[in-house]
Amino acid sequence: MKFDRRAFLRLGGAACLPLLVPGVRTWAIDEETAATAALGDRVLILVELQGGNDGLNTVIPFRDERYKKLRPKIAVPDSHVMDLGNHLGMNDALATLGESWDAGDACWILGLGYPQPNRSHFRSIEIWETGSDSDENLTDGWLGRLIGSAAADPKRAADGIVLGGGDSGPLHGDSTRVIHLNDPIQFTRQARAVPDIAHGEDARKALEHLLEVQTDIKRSARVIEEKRANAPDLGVQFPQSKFGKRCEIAASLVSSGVPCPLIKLSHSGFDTHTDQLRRHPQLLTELATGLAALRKALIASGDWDRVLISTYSEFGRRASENGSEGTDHGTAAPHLLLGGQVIGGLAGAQPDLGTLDKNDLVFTTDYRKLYATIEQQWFQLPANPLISRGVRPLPVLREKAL
Amino acid sequence: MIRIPVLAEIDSYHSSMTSKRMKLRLPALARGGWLLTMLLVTTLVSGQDEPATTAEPAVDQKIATPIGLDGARHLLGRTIFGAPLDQLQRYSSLTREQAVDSLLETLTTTAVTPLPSWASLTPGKIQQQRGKTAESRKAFQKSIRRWQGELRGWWTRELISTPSPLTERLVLMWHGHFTSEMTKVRSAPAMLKQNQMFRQLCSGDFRQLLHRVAVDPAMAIYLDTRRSTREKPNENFARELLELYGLGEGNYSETDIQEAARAFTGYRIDHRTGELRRIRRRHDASEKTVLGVTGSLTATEVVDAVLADPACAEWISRRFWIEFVSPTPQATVLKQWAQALQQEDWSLRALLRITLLSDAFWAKENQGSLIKSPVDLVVGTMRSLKIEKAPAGQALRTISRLGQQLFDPPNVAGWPGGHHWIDATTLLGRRQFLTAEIHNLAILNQMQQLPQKDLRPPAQDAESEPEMMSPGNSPEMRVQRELPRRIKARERRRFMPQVLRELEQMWQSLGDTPDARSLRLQQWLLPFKPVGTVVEMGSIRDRLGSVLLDPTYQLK
Repeated sequence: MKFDRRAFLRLGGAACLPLLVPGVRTWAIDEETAATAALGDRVLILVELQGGNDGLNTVIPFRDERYKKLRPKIAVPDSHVMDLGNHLGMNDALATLGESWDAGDACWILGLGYPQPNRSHFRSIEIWETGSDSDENLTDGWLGRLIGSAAADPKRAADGIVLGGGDSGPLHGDSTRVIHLNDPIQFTRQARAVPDIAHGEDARKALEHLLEVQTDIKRSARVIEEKRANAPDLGVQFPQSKFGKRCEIAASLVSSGVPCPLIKLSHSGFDTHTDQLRRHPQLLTELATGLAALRKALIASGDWDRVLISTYSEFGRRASENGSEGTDHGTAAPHLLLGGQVIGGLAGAQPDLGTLDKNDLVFTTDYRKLYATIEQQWFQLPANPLISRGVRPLPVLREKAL
Repeated sequence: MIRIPVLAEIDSYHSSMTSKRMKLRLPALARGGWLLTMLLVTTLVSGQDEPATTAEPAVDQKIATPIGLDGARHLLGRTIFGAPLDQLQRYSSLTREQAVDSLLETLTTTAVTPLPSWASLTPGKIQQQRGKTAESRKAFQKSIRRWQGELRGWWTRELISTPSPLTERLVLMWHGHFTSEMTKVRSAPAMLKQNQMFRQLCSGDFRQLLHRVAVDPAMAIYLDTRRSTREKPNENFARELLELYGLGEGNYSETDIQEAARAFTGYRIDHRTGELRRIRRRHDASEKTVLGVTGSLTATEVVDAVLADPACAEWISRRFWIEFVSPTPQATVLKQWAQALQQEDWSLRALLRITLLSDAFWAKENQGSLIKSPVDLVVGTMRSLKIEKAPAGQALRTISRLGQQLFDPPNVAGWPGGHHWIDATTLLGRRQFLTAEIHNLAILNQMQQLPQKDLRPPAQDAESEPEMMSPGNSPEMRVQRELPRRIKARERRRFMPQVLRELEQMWQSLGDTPDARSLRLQQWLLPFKPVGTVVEMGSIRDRLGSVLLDPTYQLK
């Protein structure tokens, strides 16, 4: 079992919420029926917006009077909104993504969320990352299950690479090999000194974990070193922010052909309870400049068509502002898809500001529609009831065989 | 034959009545110093067989016999970041109860490291420093950053050289439980005040601790209580009080949070005193219901409602289990601990005693089941190898690189710990510390022991990281002054022989034959037999290095 605060909470909640059993049962059935399709050379880059991004100040219903009424102090002024059509606009802190929007390879999926929203950071990110219902507890990440249901590929450097901190989140799973790295060059150098120690089913869980990580380090380092030896120079300047540097590493891994289907980056600081007008645009600008550089690099390297970038976050924020020029934890929010196969535009539906539930937006699009899209259209796997929950994919990707 | 009832009682330590009686009987043992303790141990041990076989032989014998070197390593590794071999050997001849009680006797409420110079400034003085001009503000921002570094350095120094590492272990635990991030709080004085509050109450009355947390200024900044008003209650603190600090998820409703948030409205930091104060006109005094308690509740009464909830004592017991026992708490045991905690008037010292004397703590399957935190690894290695005079700044940087930035847990839930400490990056970083950095620390440790005139002055460090404080305030401070982190080749040549000589002495003291020494070395430092190849020949440096690099050294 993953030992973390979530496990901690589950144990605490287990007595009061006897919900584990049904989840586990459906999962077992699913594993029997899952086909073992290959993932091809497609890559999914996930960007976690840590803390809960304020969707209403990201994709803004700026023509709606009620928006400004809900947010007398922190509404984004019209002069800082880039019109996206449909009475919606993008915060101009994201201006560097304008090129992608104009090129038609950026799509905003609106109103993503789930019923009975949970407003705890930890519980809600757990729901998003495991793909569970609000009242259901799952251990593995949704991509951990996705990897588990596809054919294993021994040539992979890893199933997933987490860049620059943060946990494996959606990539977590008993059968997924995830490595965390900050700097690929230092990583390969240090990995050479790690001894090969065989391991297997040892009852000593903590020790097993250590040995597994050692083995993964050695294997991944071998592959990364080999590929990066002939990495192309893409001539793209990345921003020097933490997030920008992570984007740069992601670009170098993908463009040098390091075989790894999942990459996760995180961008933190979105828990804007206070001082939002100053902090939120900074966060969005860092996000946009990093992603714009990543896009440019992958177009230059010819990899853009095999890459899909998707943001996610635990929740959006309260529709009404609080007394500290910020916003409290909320519910539904829009998320961004970028990639050479993305059909640009808006998908889903913007939540109606007239029908709030306790000052919160009501979601319009089950977040698992995004997962269904990634599962069935991006990786072209058969629908897995535990990943996509029987919901239909969104029409946001060009249909092109792997 | 007084030992028969004593042994019987030890076995039933869950009952608060018996443990209270035991406390009355044992202080002489605990306070009497080593000589007396040893004498008593010998008496107890020599006569154990007869009474032990009459009742439950296996259990009683286990409890009455000395814990041995393995037991001492387990106990000290879990509680005081590990220890030098001589300390381990002293504990090894005690019974579980004697060892735990001796350990608990070391608890204290204050730090020994001299405080940074700004700690004596009053809140009013600090406000004055901020000034009104853009220039003075800018200078003030700069000193805020410097103070933050100094505060981190101060605590690291205390962790490395405190005579009461158990106290610091508890302070660190509470810092990870009642989290505040300096990145958001910004004020180093407020973070220091919180840290001192943890030190004062870490083994005291939990009720007092929770009440103090609720009105702690750094907390009020971190979780926005200070901005919460009657018109717009901010839910941040109320939510975490119920979810993370007091009860755990599943033990409250969203309504409880919203109602509790109204009770925490109207609190402001008084800039003259630095304390939290309730402003009547901003406070929502109307009726609220939190966890079944109704009234015009204030912060104090909401905390009381949390403490009155049966889930609270269990939640705290769970924290102790996860910190000290294993990653997988047993619900039935937690219930017993929770009951005992309440019967012991919420004494955290009593809960710690219960935890450390529990069968679960000593169970073979739980030994080595925890992954060392970066503080465990770095501070523990330095304390074990007696290189605690090495600069704290160096240790601090390593700890932070390995994922445990002191005063800045990753989020409000604190460090998730366990498997999360180890990923490809941090595992490689840990190896780097145990191969290269540890040697530098040993050299710097030697350099620090020389008279000051023999040393070059500290280099101008552009990053100006954790310098202890401006030098020259007092003789002690001069001794405490941090050395520069870079070591010149000349210094390495000069000091490395002394490092090696001391290592060699340590090696010789381990036993009579190389085989015995080698075994003792592993017993001292590893919870299991090594899984990698341990060097059985050659210099102590190579032997020690290979033991430290064995994956089992990462466990406790």
